[in-house]
Amino acid sequence: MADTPLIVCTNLTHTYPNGVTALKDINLTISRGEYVAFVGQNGSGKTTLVKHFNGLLKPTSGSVKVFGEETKDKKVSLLSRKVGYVFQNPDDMLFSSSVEEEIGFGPKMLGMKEEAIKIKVNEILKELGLMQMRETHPFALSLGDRQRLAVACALSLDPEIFVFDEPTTGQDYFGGESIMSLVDQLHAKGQTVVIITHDMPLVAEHAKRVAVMHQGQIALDGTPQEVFSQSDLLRKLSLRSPQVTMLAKNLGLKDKTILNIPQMYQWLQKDYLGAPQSARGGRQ
Amino acid sequence: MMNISQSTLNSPLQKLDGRTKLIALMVIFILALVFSNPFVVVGLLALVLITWWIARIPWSLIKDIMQFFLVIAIIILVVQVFFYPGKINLFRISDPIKFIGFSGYITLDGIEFGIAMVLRLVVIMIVAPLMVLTTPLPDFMLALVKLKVPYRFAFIMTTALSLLPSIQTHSGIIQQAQLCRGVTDFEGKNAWLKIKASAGLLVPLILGTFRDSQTLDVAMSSRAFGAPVKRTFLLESHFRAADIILLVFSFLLLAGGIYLRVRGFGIL
Repeated sequence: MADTPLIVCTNLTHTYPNGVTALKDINLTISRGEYVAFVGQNGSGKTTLVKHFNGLLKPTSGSVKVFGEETKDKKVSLLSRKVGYVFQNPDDMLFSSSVEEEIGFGPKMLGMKEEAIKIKVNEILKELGLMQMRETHPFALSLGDRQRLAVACALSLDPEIFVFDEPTTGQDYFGGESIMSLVDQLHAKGQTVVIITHDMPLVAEHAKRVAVMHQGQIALDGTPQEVFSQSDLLRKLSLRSPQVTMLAKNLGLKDKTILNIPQMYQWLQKDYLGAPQSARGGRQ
Repeated sequence: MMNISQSTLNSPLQKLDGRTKLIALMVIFILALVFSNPFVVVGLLALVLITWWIARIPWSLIKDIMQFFLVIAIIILVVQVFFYPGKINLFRISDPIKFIGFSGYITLDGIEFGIAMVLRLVVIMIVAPLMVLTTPLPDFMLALVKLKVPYRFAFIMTTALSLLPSIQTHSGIIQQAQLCRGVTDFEGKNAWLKIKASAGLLVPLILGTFRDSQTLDVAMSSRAFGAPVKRTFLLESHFRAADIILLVFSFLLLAGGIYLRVRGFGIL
């Protein structure tokens, strides 16, 4: 069921031991099959918020329910079977001496039998294009492949929700695209995806819902069209819409929000270039 | 373990010159090593705890240190109680085992010496944070250099100290990452399983630290570290009245301690 709420935060507030309140009274629901991107300045509370989804952090006040159960009394190791978390730096997640051992570690922790683990590892190696490197030491892989391996490790626990903390940071364009196509595939298979990023074109291109965080609160929440159409408000929140969105706006497009190059191209061809110059509007 | 930054502490100790604190620290170290009577070491411990209170360092840090030290303390105590060649026998527990040097008796002076050894180590372990947590690293380095410690050695020491909080933070992140991969042992109550699970932190932690060190090496080289010229200092340090008072007190304590020790006081 697409509308089943999987993560429900109610009046969630989190204060760190040093006294910094990173989240203030957050109310948020993420339903099954959603693809949500959290954006915001550094220190706005994005990572603190998503770390509540698998119990790495517990609410100081308010509550977080995952699959209808409060995370407060749940162990992270148990919640990790439902919520997979891929860290920003893949190296923090890797410690085994080969790629296949690394992927098999999680299922082993779940008490899976050896035969079943082998089948699972093979499936994941194939799915993520890591088969050729199955015996390679994880730290001998490129950053892009280490990031894929980190996804593979999360995937091995069969979670229904995936959280990605800045998955494309430090990657070149193709590396980033490769990771994002993997994320898209997971979403296409029905998994719920939560992603943190600073890359606005990436959000516009991939996410179906955007939550803008500012000073520990959710300042904006909606579809990419709804959020990126509010460029003035975004600027106040120290963010900018994708350049292509800004360009279309400056060319006078008011009734719709362009999110990517193909949309821009289509609009330029169909509506803008075909119209008489006087009807184009915008900054000439 | 809790993470305390120097900036969150605001105490009279922060206003002292780094050299004063280093000298006072050395005096406490020496006194802790020269006396073996547990009552004298308890006095020294009380002095350190009072300073800890003045420094406004959270008491919970002592708890953290003691948790880490507990197993070592028990081993030291047991070894001393069994193997110290004491004179006042309390009770006999077995026949003498000559090849390991066990007389067969538990002795009063063995127990006293064991307690003193543990207390000595407690003093040494809790006096060091007084220096580290109340002295900004540049001041610490300046103090070492002014005390004629070679600059390279001072730099290595302060760099190691500055790496500690980042290693601590990194180890926390790796532990979180492993919890996310289904490792249950960190969340259980079994201390042995926790220690065993901690071994899994080592590979990513060591590799990460190596990588950080390489980056630091490049950063230092690009900022003229080791250039063959006499370096100058941006910061300067000066002794104030409080420094003089503490220095005089430290020297008197050291002189008095050594005098008493030579006269045979404070030893078993």
